[in-house]
Amino acid sequence: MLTGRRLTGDHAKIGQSQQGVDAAVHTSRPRARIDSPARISPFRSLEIPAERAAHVKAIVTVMLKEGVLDPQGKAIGHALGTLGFSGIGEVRVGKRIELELAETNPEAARAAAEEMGRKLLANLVIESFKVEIV
Amino acid sequence: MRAAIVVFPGINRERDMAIALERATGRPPRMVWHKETSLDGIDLVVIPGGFSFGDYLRCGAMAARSPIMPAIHAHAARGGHVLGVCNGFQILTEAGLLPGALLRNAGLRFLSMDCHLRVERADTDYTAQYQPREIFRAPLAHGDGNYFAESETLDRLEGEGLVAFRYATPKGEINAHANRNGSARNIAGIYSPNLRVLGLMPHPEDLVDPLMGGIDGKPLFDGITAAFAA
Repeated sequence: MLTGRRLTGDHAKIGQSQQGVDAAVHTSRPRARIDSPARISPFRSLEIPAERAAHVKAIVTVMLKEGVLDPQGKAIGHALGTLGFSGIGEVRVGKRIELELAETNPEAARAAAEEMGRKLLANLVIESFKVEIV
Repeated sequence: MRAAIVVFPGINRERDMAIALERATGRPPRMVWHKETSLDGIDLVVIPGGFSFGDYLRCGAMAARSPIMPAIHAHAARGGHVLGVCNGFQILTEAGLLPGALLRNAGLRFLSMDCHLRVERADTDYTAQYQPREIFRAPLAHGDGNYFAESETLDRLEGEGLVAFRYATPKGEINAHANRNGSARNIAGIYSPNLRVLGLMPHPEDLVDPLMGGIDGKPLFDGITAAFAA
């Protein structure tokens, strides 16, 4: 839920359809402008109308390198076996990080996402990553 | 010795560390918030344990990019002493001040128990008050303490005498049973090449008074303090 105000709205409208609740929220709460970084709220993705999104999305997939023990993957594989799934080989667990970038050039977006991957998103001692632009 | 403890959001062992440092040095350490940018006048920078930034992304990943870090890099680059314990060790590896990384414990469980450590060398500023190969007890409390590095890095650490402590049995045997988190070659702590940056997973600061159940960790704090008094 976005705000105390919205919570109140939800409680007041229990029983109505989800669409009704959303409509009430949008009319009572001004939509954030997205042209200034200072105005970006944590709920930005909920507030950008699709037609205004001049962005690309970078999907960064981070995986442990070959040879690095992945005990979570092992545990998941074991649990799947317990559930009766057979024929499961190695199971590896990774992370998928979706970045919305204010960038229209896919190559520039890729270069930026790769730098982010090297500097923060992956620890290259133990992980590798790949970037996909969508 | 003037010590500082760097405090990040989510760190929770800074007070234990402050007690240990004050016992050894006779004065309270300076507490430095992660948004500060200066460590002027500090001899020993300590990064304590906890869960900085909720362990988001990777343990220590966010802390290693916070505003205080350039000052810690500069302190280490001019030969200053840096001690990282538990999350502090993870932060030092994430920051590139120590090699390798700390992975999820091999058994996946959060470990909260005592362990025993073997002092690999007793001629550093941190270990001069231990005996060579001495075994001492230290509490463990971590979910990601499984030390990992490429085998060439491990060979280099061992070849250059940069392994500080190894997990051992109470009798001093280095074996898989003692190595509860699965660390490569039982490594519990390592030094930088100049032996002044030390990272380790267990908590020597939690055994510095008989009322805590022992004083096994006290020689480490007395040792580093004496190194500056000399």
